[in-house]
Amino acid sequence: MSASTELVYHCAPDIVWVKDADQTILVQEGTGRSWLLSSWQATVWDLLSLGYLADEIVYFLALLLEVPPETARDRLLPIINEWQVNGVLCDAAGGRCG
Amino acid sequence: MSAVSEPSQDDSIFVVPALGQYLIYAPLHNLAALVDGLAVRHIRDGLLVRGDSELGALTDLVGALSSRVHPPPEPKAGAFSPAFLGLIPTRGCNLGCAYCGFQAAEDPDDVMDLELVRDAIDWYLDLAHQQGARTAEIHFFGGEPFCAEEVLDFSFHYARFRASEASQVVRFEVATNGAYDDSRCRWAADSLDSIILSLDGAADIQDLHRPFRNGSSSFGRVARSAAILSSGAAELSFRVCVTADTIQYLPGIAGWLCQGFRPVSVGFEPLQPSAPSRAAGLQPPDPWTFAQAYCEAAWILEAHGVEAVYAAADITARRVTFCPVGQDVPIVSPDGTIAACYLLARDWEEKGLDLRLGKLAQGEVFLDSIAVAAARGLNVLAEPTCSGCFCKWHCAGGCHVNHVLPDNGGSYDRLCIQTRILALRNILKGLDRNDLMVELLKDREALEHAVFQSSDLIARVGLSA
Repeated sequence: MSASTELVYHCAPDIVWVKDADQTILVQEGTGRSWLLSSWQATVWDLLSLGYLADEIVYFLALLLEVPPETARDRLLPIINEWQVNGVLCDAAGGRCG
Repeated sequence: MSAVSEPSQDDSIFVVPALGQYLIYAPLHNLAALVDGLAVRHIRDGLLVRGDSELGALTDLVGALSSRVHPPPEPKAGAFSPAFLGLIPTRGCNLGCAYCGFQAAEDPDDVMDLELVRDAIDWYLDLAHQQGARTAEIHFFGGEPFCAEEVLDFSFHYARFRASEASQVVRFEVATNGAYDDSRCRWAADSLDSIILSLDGAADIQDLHRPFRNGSSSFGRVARSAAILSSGAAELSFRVCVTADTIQYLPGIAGWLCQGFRPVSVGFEPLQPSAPSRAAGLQPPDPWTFAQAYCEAAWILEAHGVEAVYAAADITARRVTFCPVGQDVPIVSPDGTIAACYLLARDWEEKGLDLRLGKLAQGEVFLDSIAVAAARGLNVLAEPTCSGCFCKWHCAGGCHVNHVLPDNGGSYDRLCIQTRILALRNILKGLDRNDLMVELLKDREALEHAVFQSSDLIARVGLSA
């Protein structure tokens, strides 16, 4: 499984989350597994949950982290990939959630 | 009998007649009291001609009036120190409100560039950090801010990210129409700190005042948004625009908002006349009727634990300017203009004002120190009409653009009348004397006697025999 900025991602239906001041906590209903997202990863999750495309998130991240878009993309894709593997994120193409 | 007290002390102690009694009101002394006419004479003598030997039981009161708890409010001075940052993501809007002057904005489709957002936030947070502020604050104005939702999303995350690096906390406030989908509402409810939602009443009123741009009903959408926003962590406040035709429904609107939603406050604002409102045949309410209906609505809200707001009559505020103007608030437009006011430039210019403070472009901030000083100079200290008014430290003369005051003290217009009545209501409420306000509202002559007093200053007020 490899992430792509050309795909549309959405949060897995069994994932609920709570936002705190500096972090977001994801919880998988049923299993109770949880993930703590902080800093820019919490931003990425928030933007994905609002329906932003990965390409748009790359632009946001480049401005946020003050890095070139290529660097932002290189940071984003592994995170998306990891979230897919863990089943917290699906891509619209195949509905894959881990 | 000896020295007269300093004039500076006298200009913050007021006396307002209230049905045979007198309200002594000293906002800078944290003091309000109801007394009779004889007591006012003794207090005045005790203050103005020190050594009055007949003070008796009034000695403590005169003592309390002899030393202020709060210093007199003063205009900003020194380094530019913003109370908050204002961002206008766009002047565009998805509603076509019958009274909205923003529909005539020159560039309604302009959306703030994200690099401009970044530069504005960097500049503001640096200023806040230099001044040792631990909490920063960003307010979004419009048009409708959510019509440029990427600007809100980026501002929110970028400001939090940058602030956390400096151990700052950022609060976010938005003034919004609530006409967007459920997921965006949930985001706003869970992410922002304060949401001011415009909702003018039930379907017939809301759809008359605030339809979608194509004329269709907005009520269902906005009411649903209000319900979602009620369930989140953000503080929800309603802003209700009131016209001559809707004033009679104000108490009903107050009850409906409390029963259907969970606001922390409800603000009632009389219609500000504009070219669109005149074209739509909408008129502001009569100020006496507004004050009466506001009081009835406020008592309903307060019975539900909801604060009633008429900003000019906020007696907890002690200020020389009512609004962001003069408070060093930079309000950044989509084109990078930094202004002191969020209204359209055309509106200030019609009143002979230029409220531009500077410009933000290509990462550089140009702030015009002369313009900043001019904005600071727009304050109640420069308003002769207000000099003897007991509301002057609260209303501070009101909106610099929309409230043009006459030049002579004691000439009160529509806005002054309702402000004076509602400030009086708030003070009497603080004294646990709502009953006296009820009686005053029933007695128009007594109310006019209180409202039209040309000066409330204790040294100048006339007393009944």
